[in-house]
Amino acid sequence: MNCETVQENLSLYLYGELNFHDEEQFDSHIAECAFCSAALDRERTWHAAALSKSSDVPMDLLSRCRRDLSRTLDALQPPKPSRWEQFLETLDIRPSHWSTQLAVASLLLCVGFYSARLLGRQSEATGGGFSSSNDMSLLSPGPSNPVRFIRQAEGGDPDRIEIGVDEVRPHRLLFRRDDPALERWAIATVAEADDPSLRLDSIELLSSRPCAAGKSALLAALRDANTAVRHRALSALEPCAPDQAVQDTVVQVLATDQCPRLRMEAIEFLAPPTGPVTVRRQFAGVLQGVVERESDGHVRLRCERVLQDIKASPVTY
Amino acid sequence: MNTRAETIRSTDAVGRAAERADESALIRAAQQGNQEAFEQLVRNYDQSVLRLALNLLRSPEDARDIYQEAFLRVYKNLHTFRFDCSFNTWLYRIVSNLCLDQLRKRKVRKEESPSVSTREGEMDRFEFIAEERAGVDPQRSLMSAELQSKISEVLSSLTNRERLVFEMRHYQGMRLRAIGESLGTTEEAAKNCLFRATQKMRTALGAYA
Ligand SMILES: [Zn+2]
Repeated sequence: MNCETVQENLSLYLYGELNFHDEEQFDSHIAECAFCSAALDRERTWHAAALSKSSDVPMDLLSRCRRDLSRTLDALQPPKPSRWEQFLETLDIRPSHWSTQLAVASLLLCVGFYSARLLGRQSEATGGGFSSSNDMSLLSPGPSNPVRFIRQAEGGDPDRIEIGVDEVRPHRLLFRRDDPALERWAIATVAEADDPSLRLDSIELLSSRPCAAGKSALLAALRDANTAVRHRALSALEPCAPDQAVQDTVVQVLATDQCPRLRMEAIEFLAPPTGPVTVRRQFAGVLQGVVERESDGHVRLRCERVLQDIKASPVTY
Repeated sequence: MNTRAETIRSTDAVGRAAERADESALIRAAQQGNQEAFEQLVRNYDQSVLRLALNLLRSPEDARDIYQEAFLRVYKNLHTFRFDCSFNTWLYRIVSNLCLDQLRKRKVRKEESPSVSTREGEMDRFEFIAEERAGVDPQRSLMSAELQSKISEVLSSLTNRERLVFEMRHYQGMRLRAIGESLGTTEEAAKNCLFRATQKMRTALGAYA
């Protein structure tokens, strides 16, 4: 490979899109040619720079999209009268051979047993108190609902067949807004969900009553790995701003959070420009510390403004 | 503070392998009308789809439309999916067609009325997220604003197809072969597109690097 060919293939090489032979030729040329080696370094640099230009998707946009789609799909759902027939078909059984109604009844009984077990397990974990739509007509045969056994039902009646279904399909739980179990689900989701948009939605739920048990979940969310989650948690905590534990944690955020924008919001949170000056004065020491250590110019400037406002000298305090 | 992120990252590879194995099962379940399976399938891909739409169209509202339309088409046509290409390729065929259509429509609109709104206000949030990321990594924040704006400039000077191929390769990490399949063309044609895109980037950015 000569210099010209190498220069043309810099990007394809970095993408790993050269074939085995070309890549070998490329490697051995680079090892010997300082000029091309430098060009490869430059190529690598703009690759990295362009990558940093790509943004993470805004989580609230994502969750809005998911909600829209879910709504559209719900509206599209056809009524499902033929599930049972489909089910029998997959088992290669013709309904006419059976007393269909009886069989449906035993299926429902059996499924009822399994879902009761599942729900029982969930109730233990959460302390119960929720209701489930628990709609049996949604149960469909398929990989997520494997059939475990088919047998004659107990009692010796040849017309009664029992089918055991291990239901692993997720449940839909319906809550009223004031149901305390709803809050427990939201708290668990803020702490556990891998999907940041779910954590965001849960914070949304908690923010309507943040001074109850949800508060500590929101405080924990201030240390979430996802920046959008931390932002949302901070604004959800606003009604609890006078709370000492909340203030302590927000001071931590101001001192340690990596996102300058969030640090800026932490200042507003602790020392709201519209609030009484006594509140702002309370944090003069903290803000003074920020002015001394803060690397971000905007954040520093905001602190200095607040400090000027409360007439505490930003230089000596 | 990053414990969660690190845990997720370390289990990512394992999780992804398991996801691939589960994917055909998921698709079959969705084809049989299992809505939960369909929603799971959506969740496996929707962040990448939204990112692609957002990067290409640079408008959250347009990206939102593409998201809806793409997954609705997937939903309506999933029964025609025959596993003769990867689901990823099939999905991106839908998404890239929608994005190209949208970009084409915009061009027409622009030619019809030069004063069409650029929806720049909508991009505020988008830019804000980008700025946030810059704050996360000190190395990135050192990257001169000039270089970043140059990159935007070059990206918007690419043709729609060059841009699409570049996004799919550079940001989505798709193989050229899959890109070709998604765009209904050959790997070679996708490569040529990428070739032109990277050449423009190199020419414009070489001096900054
Ligand atoms: Zn050379």
